[in-house]
Amino acid sequence: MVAEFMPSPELEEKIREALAAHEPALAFVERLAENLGERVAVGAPRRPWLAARGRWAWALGLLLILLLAGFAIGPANIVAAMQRLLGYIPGVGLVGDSSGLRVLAEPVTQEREGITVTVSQAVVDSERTVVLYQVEGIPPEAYPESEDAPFCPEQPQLRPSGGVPADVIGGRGGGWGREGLMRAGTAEGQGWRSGFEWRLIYSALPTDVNEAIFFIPCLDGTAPGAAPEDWELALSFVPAPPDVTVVPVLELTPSPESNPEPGEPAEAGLFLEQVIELEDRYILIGSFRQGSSIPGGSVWGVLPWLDFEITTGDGQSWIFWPAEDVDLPEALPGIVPWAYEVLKGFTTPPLTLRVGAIDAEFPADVTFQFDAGPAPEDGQEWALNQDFEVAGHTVTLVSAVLHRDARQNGYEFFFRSAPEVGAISIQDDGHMPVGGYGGGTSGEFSVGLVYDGPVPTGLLTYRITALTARIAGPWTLPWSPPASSAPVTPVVLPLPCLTFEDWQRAVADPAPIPEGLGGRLIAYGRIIDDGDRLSPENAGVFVFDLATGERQALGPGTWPTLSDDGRRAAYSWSEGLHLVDLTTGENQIVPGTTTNDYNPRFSPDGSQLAFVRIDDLNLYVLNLDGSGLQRVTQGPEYELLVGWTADGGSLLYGVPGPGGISLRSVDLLSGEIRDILAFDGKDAWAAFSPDGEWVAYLARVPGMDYGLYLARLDGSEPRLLAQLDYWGIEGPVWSPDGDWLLVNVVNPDLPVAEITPALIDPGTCQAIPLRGIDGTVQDWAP
Amino acid sequence: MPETIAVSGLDGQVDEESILAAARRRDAAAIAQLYQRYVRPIYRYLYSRVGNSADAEDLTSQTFLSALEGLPRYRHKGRFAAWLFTIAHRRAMDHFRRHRPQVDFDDRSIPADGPDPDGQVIQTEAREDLSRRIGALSEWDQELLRLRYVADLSFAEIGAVLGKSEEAAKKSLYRLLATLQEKMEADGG
Repeated sequence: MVAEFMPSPELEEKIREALAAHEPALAFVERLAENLGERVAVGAPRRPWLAARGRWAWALGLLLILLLAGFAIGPANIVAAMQRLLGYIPGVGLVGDSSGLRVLAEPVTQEREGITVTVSQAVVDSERTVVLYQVEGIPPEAYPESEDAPFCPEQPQLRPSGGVPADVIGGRGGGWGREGLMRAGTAEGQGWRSGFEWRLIYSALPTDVNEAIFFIPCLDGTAPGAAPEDWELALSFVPAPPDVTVVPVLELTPSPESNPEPGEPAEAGLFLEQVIELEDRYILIGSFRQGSSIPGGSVWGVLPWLDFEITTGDGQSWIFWPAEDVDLPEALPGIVPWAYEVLKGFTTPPLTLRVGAIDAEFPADVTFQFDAGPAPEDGQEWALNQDFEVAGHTVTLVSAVLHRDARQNGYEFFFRSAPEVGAISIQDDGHMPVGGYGGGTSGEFSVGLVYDGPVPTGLLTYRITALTARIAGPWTLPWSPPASSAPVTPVVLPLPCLTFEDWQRAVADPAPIPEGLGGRLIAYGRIIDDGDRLSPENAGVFVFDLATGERQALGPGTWPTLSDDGRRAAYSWSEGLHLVDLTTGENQIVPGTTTNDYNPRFSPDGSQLAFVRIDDLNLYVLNLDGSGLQRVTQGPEYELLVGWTADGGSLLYGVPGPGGISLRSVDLLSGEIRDILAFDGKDAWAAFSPDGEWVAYLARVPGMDYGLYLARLDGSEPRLLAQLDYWGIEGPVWSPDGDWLLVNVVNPDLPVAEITPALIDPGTCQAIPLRGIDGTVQDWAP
Repeated sequence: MPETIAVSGLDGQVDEESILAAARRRDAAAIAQLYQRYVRPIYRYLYSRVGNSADAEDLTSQTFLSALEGLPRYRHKGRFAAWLFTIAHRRAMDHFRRHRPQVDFDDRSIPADGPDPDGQVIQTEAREDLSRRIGALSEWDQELLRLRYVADLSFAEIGAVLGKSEEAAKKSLYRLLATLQEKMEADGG
């Protein structure tokens, strides 16, 4: 046990001096005080029903809503509910009192070098300016070549005319913007995207300023100098016209449990603090508060989406999703904010909000040692098998591994514990690591420390400083809509044909593969049985005979595909696209292709390959001998190749955009592009049936995760075939006869996600898991 | 903006709970008092993180603007300082996600004190040495030192900012200081 250490006053003084605390300039302090004072004065509460002339009808209606709501929440709370009345504008978020609200006079658009920037919406209230802007048309070459290369991190400025730039308060964005680098030959990464959308929040424009410049120094994520810079869009603001939708926010007084008297224990629970009623949904805003119910631990961050559910009065799961444009308040230890949009149309109130479990962090102070020896080698592993008691949990340190590379220069420790333990934090007080990382799942996880320079050796001492454990609930909160809510048409939820429970039963008692069903599957997965986790070192492309179970490894590679007659295979790897004769085993590089070409697809007659070229993210076609190279698509959009039409005359592909995925076809002779179907998907996981009449695709199910849909090519007769809760479904593939779909089901709960290919009958939704494949199936031929 | 308000509490000291209650009702005087109480510690803390006055001013402004906006939702439990420094801590994290550090720790000028030129040199070198040692610490450990010796937070408040118990925060800091002192003594510092 370390003797108690007390720092001397001299040491503490030295540290204060070394930290060289600087005092702020008096001018700054005074200027900020003045700024804050103006905001306080402008934002002084007013009674909305005495608002500006001409708004009596709106104000009286609002008052009526509040009075009626008061009967729902209790008359004693109505005064508190009125004290701070906010409004909500869809897409913009919460705004202050609607009086004094200003909006963008009109959207502003600018185009330079094929890139379009649009400020589509902006709203100013007494405290904030919210700006929504979109960028489209960014070519792939405008992005850095690697994740480590410099990129534009700058946020746009809002410059009021004659004033200093407004302060940035917050913002959120994404969509189809830069997400990473894709390289042919790797199994990771996502593609470049051609645009993005941001919602930015600035401090409020002064009340006497209605003009501002929206200045974008550089486009988010692009490489320096690779795209036009220094954009200036002139914005004009006008008083919000009467037809601007500002939805009142009902602010509820927290229940006594949420604000206990000091010294009194408080139970953990869900609290509802604000309600917004829209035409087709409610937005519920609240928090989870642990009170004094988790001694020694603190819940932290944002409520886990996966552990939150809402059911109706008759026990039916109801649709809800995170409220993306509601800015949650600053979180405090022990208080976790949440905001969800809840679909209207349930026929049996109340809704019951339920949190099944929540993560809490517990401080710890446990040391352990291990002897790395004088000269450990990269990849060396030590079996340690040490047990510790950490914050009341038994944690086993199973092993340690040394990594010597740029990203993981140090030791990675592998732990095992009870399922409720999700992570621990460790420190090396003696050697000052510069960073760390961790991963795994509940009960089995790893923690790594990264050092700058030589990795420490010899007898090493580490300290466990915290443990994160899942605390089981549940905690529930019933809620009924205000009596004043307008009646809506009851909503019938889309029920999947194949549910998660159905899948579990199919796995527990798998049916045999239907007699006569055969053919060859081609997959990416394990080709070297080395007992290690799947990695580029032991993974590649292989063919699996569905009838006999025989495997034929083709070699390292990705994006495998089969010709329609099953005689050839093609895949991506170094040096170019590989072409394999499955009868002779001959494996050759297609001339004219490079390591930057991926996702090959055979034409129906097997004479050509279509593929995507990373250089410009366009679709190409060439003959198998490398002749006749033809670029099929143009422009900066990122095309995701799906396949060929049955007549071989067109390519089928998907394009990501703000609304999801647009499936299209492009005629190889004329170049004509036709829209086929659009859906809310995150990737072009789609497959067209052999008869050309149906398309299976993965799209988000309202209020849930992704599901497998089947629809006619014009989008009619859509059916939700399968939705497996938060388990993933990837890559639908049709059987050659069109009677079956094959998908890859992803179990994310294991330390390494387990993938199980499975057959699904589109008619009965019977699922048949396929065992023994150990890979992701990507094509199926006779 | 008014400088102070007189809110009497025990022993005539200003009662922060009362000030907060008034501030949540957007009482300008109460907000001014909170501001005057915390603007310098917040600025000092942020300066120690970013190393230049321009960014420190910008982040201080952002912190108080966020606090002003969030004040109505803040539920006072005696940890207002922790809440405010948590906001500042997050703003600094956001800043570093967007920018590379502007100032190398070693480049900061450190004023010496005392009339003795040789003593001044020794003092400066000693400070620079300690500055380098602190700069080589993990971000977590540097944050501990900043919250304690720049922001002057109590251990309870530090724990609240970092999501730890008061005892854990104290132990962590004392262990860190012990290690620093041991290393300096070993190197003859």
